[in-house]
Amino acid sequence: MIKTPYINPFSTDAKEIVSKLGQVENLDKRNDSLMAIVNHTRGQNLSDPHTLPETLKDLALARFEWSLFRKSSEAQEKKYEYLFNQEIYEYDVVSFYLLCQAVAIKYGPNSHETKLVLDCEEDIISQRLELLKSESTDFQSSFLRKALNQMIDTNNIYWTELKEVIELGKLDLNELLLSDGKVIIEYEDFIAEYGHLIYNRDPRTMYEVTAGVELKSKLLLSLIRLYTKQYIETVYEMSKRMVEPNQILLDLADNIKEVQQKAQSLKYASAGSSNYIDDEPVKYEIEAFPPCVRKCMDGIKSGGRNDAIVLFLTPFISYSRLCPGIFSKQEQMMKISDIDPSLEITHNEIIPMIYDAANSCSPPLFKDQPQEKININAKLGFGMHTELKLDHEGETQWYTPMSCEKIKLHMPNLCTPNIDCKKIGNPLTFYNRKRRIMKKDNSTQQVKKDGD
Amino acid sequence: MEIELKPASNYERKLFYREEWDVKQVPDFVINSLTSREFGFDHFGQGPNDRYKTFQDSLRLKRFIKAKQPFAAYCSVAFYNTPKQRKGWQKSELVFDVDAKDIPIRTCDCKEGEVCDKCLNQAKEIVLMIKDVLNGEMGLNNINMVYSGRGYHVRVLDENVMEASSELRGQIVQYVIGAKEPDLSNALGFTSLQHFIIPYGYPKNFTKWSKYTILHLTKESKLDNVNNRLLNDVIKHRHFLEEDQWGLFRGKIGPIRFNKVMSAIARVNMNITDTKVSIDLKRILRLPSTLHSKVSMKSTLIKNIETFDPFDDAVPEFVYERK
Repeated sequence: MIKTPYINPFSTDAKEIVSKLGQVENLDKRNDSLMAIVNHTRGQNLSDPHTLPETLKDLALARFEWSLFRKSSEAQEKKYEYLFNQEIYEYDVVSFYLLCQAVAIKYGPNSHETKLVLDCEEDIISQRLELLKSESTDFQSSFLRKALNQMIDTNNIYWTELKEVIELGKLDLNELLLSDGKVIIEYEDFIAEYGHLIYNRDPRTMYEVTAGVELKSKLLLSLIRLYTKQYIETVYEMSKRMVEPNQILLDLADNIKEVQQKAQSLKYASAGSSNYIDDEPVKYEIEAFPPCVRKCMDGIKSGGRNDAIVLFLTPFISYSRLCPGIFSKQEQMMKISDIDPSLEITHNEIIPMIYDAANSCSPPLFKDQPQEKININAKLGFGMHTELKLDHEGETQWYTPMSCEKIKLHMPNLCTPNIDCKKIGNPLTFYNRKRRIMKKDNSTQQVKKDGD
Repeated sequence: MEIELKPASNYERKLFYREEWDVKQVPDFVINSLTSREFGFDHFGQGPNDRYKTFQDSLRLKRFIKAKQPFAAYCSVAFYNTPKQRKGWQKSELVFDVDAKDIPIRTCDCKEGEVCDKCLNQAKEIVLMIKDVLNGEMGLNNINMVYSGRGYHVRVLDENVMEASSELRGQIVQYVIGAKEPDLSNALGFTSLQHFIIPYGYPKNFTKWSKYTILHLTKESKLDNVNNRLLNDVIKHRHFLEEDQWGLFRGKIGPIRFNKVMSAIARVNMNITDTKVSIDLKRILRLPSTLHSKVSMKSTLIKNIETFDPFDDAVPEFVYERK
């Protein structure tokens, strides 16, 4: 029987476990029963005993390591097999809370580290749910019901109570079945609400393809993420009033940082000579611009000009030239002069390209709205001034490029996605990806030529 | 009598505010929150550049408007602690702006920027459909409908959504107007699933709006990635949709071309309302009861949308006195 805390660290029994096992003095002590579970996990790689967790603190760090390294090398996978052994659930829950507390105290709720811990928990739970799929649908469904009902009432919940969940962006409003504001989650409610509308089709199948286990899993993952976030915020608030934070937690926080730096350097090393996720200036490759940017550069009709040129194009043109890797950087509060200290590139390439697009508009943007030049300077981080000068830098923020979602809402006419836009969330990501592909194509062509 | 939508003269405007306008016609939902709202005025027809105005009570609002006789008057959808500085944001109405001149699928012969009986009526149909979703599926209450002069505003003052962020509003709008193709990928791996065979939830809503859009296309409509031949085929076979025979319609168009059409339709749906207005937490909207001077119409809170006719219920007296 699978225990709910294995999937939901916020279930009531999880809280009991924490109060039973979570005493501070136990956290850094060798835990034989944990080690026994690890050693007896089926398929566990035992060849390197030093890497196996001996304490709850080790286990906390291991969870974090697994999620950071799992994409970088597959061979590591069997190293963490114990994380997917259901018997570990008690220690797993305690180590989850440990991880949250460590990042909350040392780095705070808005840090990159917190985000990584949130991702980590989501990865672990979704992997566990994936493994659950070998069970029957009925089993999954009722198990998920139990896990969910520790947080919400799945027979009686309104979408307005899930606002924060939707705002996390992992679950879209249009994925929920709504009736009179109520979210239909369980099969019996589905039948009561929609049963009479379904003809010639199996209602159970209809339920499974439009809601069912998939929706429940998604909802559970989002709720866990939200609760984790809120928990970290609470711990952070409390820690501000604390005199001396616990040394074990501080150590763990340091270890987290080390692991994260290791993962970071590995990521860049594996990226090799490719200079596409960088923070250095790179020459424009216009062919790799996404369709929305190209459309904008060809000029916009009256009505949509300001937003398109100032809010959309200006950030894209500046970041794509100076710092196309902005979204993979940790520090996102950048200044143009960090990269272009003399503003030479800015004056000679970026501004002219933006002005060209503005002049291609009908009517030309600056003809009737010369003040937009000031707004462009502002979006580049140089304050509200007619001239772009180093002295003014920092008065405003250098705007990062808008996401596709935002573009669709602000300027729906601009977005005419092509095949390369699939699964892309930001035009700048499109640009980076396209450049990489173009380079690969070029080099394979080159090899072919050389071979001929 | 044929009502002409022409600008009001300065004299007519003064006459309107002196003789006809009454502060009692400003809706309660504004008066009840008067001190939390920011007001904005356009005195000379150059845009609302007199902003950050506030009023302690309706008497002061009345005096100001009677004295200034503004070209246009607006008030914020937002409630602030300090509206005078637009600071301390508390909450905002959820707004849908349907401007008759901007409907992407107008079937009338209006020139760009103009409106007529026919497209205003279409705007009303759209507003009714929006209200249905808000009220039915979303279960929201306190939905006010306002004739804005050239279209309609749906203003939702349900506490459950007033604190919603811009992001969430974006999602609500996309749901309400069917602006996103439903994601039909599913755990069972069914690839033949179509939005129109799902008689509930968002797919049903998307199907309803798409039907409306397709039935209002004209030969002049511009659809992304849809050439004239495909557009003509859509128009030729759309009669199936009147009977909700989507399967037959799709069969006639062909599955690949059908997908192409539906992607384009989702994008047309997105333009049915001005999404920018809905996601803006600090927007100002025309104050109901005041004059839209460009068309000589009165912005009016609608009591019964079924029977409301702007040409009966939103025409200022002075228009009838024109020769």
